[in-house]
Amino acid sequence: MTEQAKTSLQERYFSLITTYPKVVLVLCFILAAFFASQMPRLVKDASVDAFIPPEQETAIYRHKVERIFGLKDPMAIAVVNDTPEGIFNPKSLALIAWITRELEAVPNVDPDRITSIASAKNIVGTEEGLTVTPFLEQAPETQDEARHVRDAVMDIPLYTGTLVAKDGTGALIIFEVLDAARAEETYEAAQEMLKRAPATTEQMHVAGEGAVGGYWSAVIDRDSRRLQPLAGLVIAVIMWLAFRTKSGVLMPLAVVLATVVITMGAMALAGVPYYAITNSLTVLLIGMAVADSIHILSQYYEELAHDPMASAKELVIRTMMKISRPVLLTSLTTFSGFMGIVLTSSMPPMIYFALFAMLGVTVALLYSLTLLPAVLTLMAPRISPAFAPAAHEPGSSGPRPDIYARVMTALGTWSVANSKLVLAASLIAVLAGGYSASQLMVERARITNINPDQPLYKADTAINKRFDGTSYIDVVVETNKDEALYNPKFLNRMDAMQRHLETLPHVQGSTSIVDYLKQMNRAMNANAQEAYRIPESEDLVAQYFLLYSATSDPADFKEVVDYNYKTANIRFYMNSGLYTHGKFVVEEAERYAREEFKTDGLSAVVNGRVTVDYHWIEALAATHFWGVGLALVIVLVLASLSFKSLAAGVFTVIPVFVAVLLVYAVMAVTGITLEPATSMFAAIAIGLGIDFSIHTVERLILLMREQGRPLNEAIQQIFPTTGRALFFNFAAIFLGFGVLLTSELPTIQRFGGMIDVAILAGFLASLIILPALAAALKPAFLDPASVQRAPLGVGRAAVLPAVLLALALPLFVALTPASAAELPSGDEVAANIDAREESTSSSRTLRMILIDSSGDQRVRDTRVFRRDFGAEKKVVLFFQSPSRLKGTAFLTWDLPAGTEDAQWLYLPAARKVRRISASDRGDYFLGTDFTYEDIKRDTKLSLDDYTFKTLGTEDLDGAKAILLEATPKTPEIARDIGYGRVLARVRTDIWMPVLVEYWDKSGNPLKTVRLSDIQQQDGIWGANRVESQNVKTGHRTVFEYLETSYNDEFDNNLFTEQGLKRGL
Amino acid sequence: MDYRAALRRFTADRGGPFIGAAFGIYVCAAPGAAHGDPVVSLSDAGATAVVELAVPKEAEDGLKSELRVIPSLEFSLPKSIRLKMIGRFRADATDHFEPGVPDDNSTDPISRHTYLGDQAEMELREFYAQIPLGDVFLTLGKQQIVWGKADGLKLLDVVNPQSFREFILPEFDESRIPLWSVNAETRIRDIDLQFILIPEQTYHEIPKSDSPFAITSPRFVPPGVPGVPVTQLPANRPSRTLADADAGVRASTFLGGWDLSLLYFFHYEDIPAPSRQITRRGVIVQPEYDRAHLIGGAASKAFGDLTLRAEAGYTVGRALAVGDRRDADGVNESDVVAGVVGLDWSGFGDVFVSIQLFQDYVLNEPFGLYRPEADTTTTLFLRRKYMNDTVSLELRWLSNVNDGDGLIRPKAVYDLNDAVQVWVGADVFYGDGDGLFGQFRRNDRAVLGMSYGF
Repeated sequence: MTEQAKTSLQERYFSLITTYPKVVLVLCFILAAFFASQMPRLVKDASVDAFIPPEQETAIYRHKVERIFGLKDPMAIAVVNDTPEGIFNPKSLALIAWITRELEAVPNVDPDRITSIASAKNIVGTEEGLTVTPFLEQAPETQDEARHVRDAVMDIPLYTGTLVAKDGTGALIIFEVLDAARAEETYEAAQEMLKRAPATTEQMHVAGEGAVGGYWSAVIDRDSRRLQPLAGLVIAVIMWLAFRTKSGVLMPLAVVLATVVITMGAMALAGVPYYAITNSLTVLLIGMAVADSIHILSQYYEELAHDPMASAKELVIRTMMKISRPVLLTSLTTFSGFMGIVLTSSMPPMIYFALFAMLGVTVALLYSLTLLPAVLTLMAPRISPAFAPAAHEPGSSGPRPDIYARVMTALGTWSVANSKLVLAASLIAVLAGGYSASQLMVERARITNINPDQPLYKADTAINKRFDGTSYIDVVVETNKDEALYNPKFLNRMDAMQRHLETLPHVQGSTSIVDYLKQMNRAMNANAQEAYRIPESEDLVAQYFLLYSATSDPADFKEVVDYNYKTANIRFYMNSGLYTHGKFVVEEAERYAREEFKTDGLSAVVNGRVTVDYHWIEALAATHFWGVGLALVIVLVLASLSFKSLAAGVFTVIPVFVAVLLVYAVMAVTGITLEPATSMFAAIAIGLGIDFSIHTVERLILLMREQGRPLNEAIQQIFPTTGRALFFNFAAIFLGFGVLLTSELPTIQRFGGMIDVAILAGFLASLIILPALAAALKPAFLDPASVQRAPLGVGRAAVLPAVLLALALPLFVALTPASAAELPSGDEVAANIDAREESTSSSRTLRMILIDSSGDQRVRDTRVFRRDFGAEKKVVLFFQSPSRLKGTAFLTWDLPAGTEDAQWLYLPAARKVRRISASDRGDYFLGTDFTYEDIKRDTKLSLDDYTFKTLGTEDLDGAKAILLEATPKTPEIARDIGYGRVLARVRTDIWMPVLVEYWDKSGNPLKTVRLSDIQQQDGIWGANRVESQNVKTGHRTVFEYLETSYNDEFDNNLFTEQGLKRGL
Repeated sequence: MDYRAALRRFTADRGGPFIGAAFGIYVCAAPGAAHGDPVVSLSDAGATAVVELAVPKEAEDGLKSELRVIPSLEFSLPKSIRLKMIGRFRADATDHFEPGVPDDNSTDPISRHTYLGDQAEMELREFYAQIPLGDVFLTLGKQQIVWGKADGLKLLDVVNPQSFREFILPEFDESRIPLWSVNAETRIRDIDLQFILIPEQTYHEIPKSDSPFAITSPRFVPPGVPGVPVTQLPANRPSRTLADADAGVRASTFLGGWDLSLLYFFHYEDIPAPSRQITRRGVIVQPEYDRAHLIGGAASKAFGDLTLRAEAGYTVGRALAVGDRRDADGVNESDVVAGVVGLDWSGFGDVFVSIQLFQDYVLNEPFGLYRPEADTTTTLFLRRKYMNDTVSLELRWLSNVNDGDGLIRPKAVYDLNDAVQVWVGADVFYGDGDGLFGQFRRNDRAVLGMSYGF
């Protein structure tokens, strides 16, 4: 292992590349083309939930809450009228009713989930009991009638602040979208709809979390269409200024293109979505990828200027031998900066951002060390005008310094001369930055990521001003038995919590079942104000609910209490989405829930958007400083190793350290707070900024060693060459990130701006502080004896990235969404389910229990027989009770592909077997919540009908389940089977879906099917209980398999028309 | 109204042996009756009670206030033999449809009803044994055998006669008259074969002239000549058990997605031909039952959302009334070809739509034929179910293209729970008084009913 051997390795590599340049070109092209072909598979995820770590408990619980209470992020339309009567005039009320009605027709709006005073109901007592009638059952025509409506609405505390402004100047129409991915469309459509509104004087706003998500999604699209080409253009201009040759522009652009294409292609391949911040990743990649090219081309043109007669191959090898080491090192440090983020962050978009930036750095390095030398070998050497030899200056060889070189030289000369001043100023920056960092505020509100002049921002402000607010906290109160929430004791405790939390700042109000009960109690007591309280006895509570359901839809309570009156939800409204405001309330709510809800089997869990945000942002501050620290340490270790001196390492790191602290100072001064995007700047700045000092120190040592120059002279010598190259390197990254300032998203603007500040500081620091430091301190590693020691060779240095890559690879595997790495593909899962061991025949006793939304049960006893006849599967079902259905029988022949399946129904009253269409498979089977198709497939999903995708894994009752999404292949199939989407949780040990959610063909949640009591019999797995709950109607069907036997003997004639008629 | 006498007659007469047999079987089946396991065991017992009220718009004699109780018993015998018994008790407080005690002239004595006074009657509807005999499945006894695919009107469904006491308004299951039959089914390769032999001579029950549903249309009842007295004699019902038996065979299979069947039936037409004699004392009408051969076929297949049903029949030698005075008996035998095509559609949720086109055609048109040579009827059936099939709204519309008359029947049914069903509906006839439907235009009515079953 001699230095000689290593050098020759490096030499051999470049000689190989320069001998077969065309092969290298073709290979480079094929690699890039492959990844380019994957890019169309990229999916976009603009949701803020993407930032929430998937394992975070609050987030998981939130999904549960969504399931029980059907609560989603709503959108809202505010109607504001500042006249003294407010919105309570015939015209405004008509407008509200009009909007409420028109919204139903807006695509993607859930027509069942539109709430406004036009849909809300008045609860009043009458002689017979309660009456629940819509406020606007008849549109008021006169001001007097409108005043009546006002009196009725304002009399019900439930609605003030939520549906109407407390001062009556505004009303909200709250609605939910079916498909969050289409929220933007819906937002636009709602605004279009408002334009058609009858001409009035009211102001109208559309707002809400759902609208923000939609807005973001559109902005990402617009941004990416503009930012990326702009960044490319900026790079091209800089390259032209640097080299002023066509190839000097095109080659770096080729490297940039390959880097972006391969990184994005890899994202698509890994199934990682394109998040809001991925836009800045591409811009970052563009700036980063070009840096290596700048240094290589600078060196090349310099070599060419020195020796214009050399052959292309010779020149290239000479260039690469000198520059590959620093290029490798700087790539390594950049890589390390991102590693810091990967290791400390918990937010998927940030982790992916860093992971794929690491990949990008690697690709850029690879292409710079292969594509560039290959192309340069193929080209006839042509001197760059920027590096033209100074022919008229005798005694000088090499390029004539141009304007950039001269400026850089002047800068260096100045800083060496004023080293004390420079160091003092740096020290001040360090102190100020350190102090600022300790004062750094973590803050975030989704709405602050939107331009204040956007209508959305204005809408949010208007709503928060007049209503209870657009941010909410949900508190889920759980009891341990059904109907426990009839108990006034529990209700009073819920009430106490509401009243307590409502005293906290920014909490404007709350809604729960308690408020409904109070209103009902009051209604039943002649509307007396003092009767607005919780009824005293459990019986009374039960009675009120009964009375209510007698006059109105019991589903009105769906959002506040579950079906069994076991779990309730309290929703608190806040008029601020700021993290710091939420933090205070959430912490108090969690304390209260912990301390006051721990007895009598009662428990409370704090949840809701504000809580979820609080929990993940809280983690941000901690991980931020860990990330910065880690990045610094890795960079320090790398630099120390490569220069074989800790002092040299520290020396190299100082400029970036100063730069990062400076940015903290800037943040403190400008009031920029720490949030997901901005939290990444420091680690990135370290990884990129260190490049400048590495190049500087490397060159310094090289000059001293190879040309035997003393330190001071070497410092002077750096500026025209390395300084110039660093300047263009800096310009490329600085202007590249500068492009982000033109983004429409304030968060991306801040991110780009902060990195720019850090890069500028890092660049200046390495060119000003480093020489000044060197001149002032004369460190030991820069004395003439030390520099003679050979630095770490490329061969060994190359080991470092290899090690780091090897470390990072498992990270890729571990962190890319399960679908990419561990998860089997959707098709595999579906095939496994389909291939699940089944008997060739079975006979079962099936009890069907049909339960309607009011709890009434109907029970049907049936016998079901199934047998495979080669490729044909035949199933027959006979009803045995009740008497009205006895003898009814259903026969289905599942015929091999290519033949339409056949189905028959025998109705004893007709005494006739009737052929029925098998494409009616989406129809419900004899009043159950299972379709003909469900009955036929028996927990399996047809491989012919769906395309499958795995979305991840989930813990389900302790077992691992894969989330399998099935989407009908065509709209026709969706129409046929009645499902637009199916989401199944599949147990992988037995390949059985155990919890399956269905959406209808328009995307509305339709039903949930749960399989339980899963047992193995004769080696075959089966669920003995299958329950289907229709979300829309509240109807449920339970299938209980009371008796099952496999591979039994029974008459094949059962599967014929005759058998159907004969019955059992 | 001597109930006791009626009951005595019942036990001594036709019903007696069956009740006795059933009782005997039941005794055998009763635990403790024999040592060890009972040879016969009661495997199922149930009953349905129906109360139905029909209020006519005009015809006062159309009022109906009926109670029906339909008990059913099922026994298991050794060797997988099963025995089924379905009875029916029917009481109509108004007794308008069959005033007094009917003569049951069209019914074989073995199946005649037992009348408990004017208002009530008892009947053993079905009583048969299902006997698996190797590859042959035998159904022996009083039963209903249904052929064909058509709904609402009958073309191939002619094995059993029908009661027209309320025209075609009741469910066919209730108006079809079960017959003592031998029904043997077997399967050879993929072909289901059915052989039937019906030694019972019971034919359509046609209401007498004093019933609101008495048939008056000249299509069926040749008009008399003014001033000429008409003597109506009772129909000559065949009565030789075997010589007058009906017999048939049917083969059905599933081929290329089609349900196909072919059949042949040698039988007496269930409506007697109004054979007349012109004498000096006037016209004597002596209805005669007439033998005919029916060759037919049926097919059905689903095409996506649509299900196609079709059947066709060719009758050789049907006796048809003609108005030709030169004709000796006023009845002319002719071949008739009939067909029906139906389409069912249920492509939209819980909505079911079915349309049918019926046509029959008299081949060698006899002179003076009362009925049209080609007769066309269309039907439309709409149904929508709600609330997990507990509520269903239906509309049936039958219309005769030749006469432009028809029948419209809206109905709403609600399953209160598994046992109780209630319904409300209307039967509206329209068109010319001479038409098949128009003749009952006075009988428009509203219907309200409830059933309870266990």
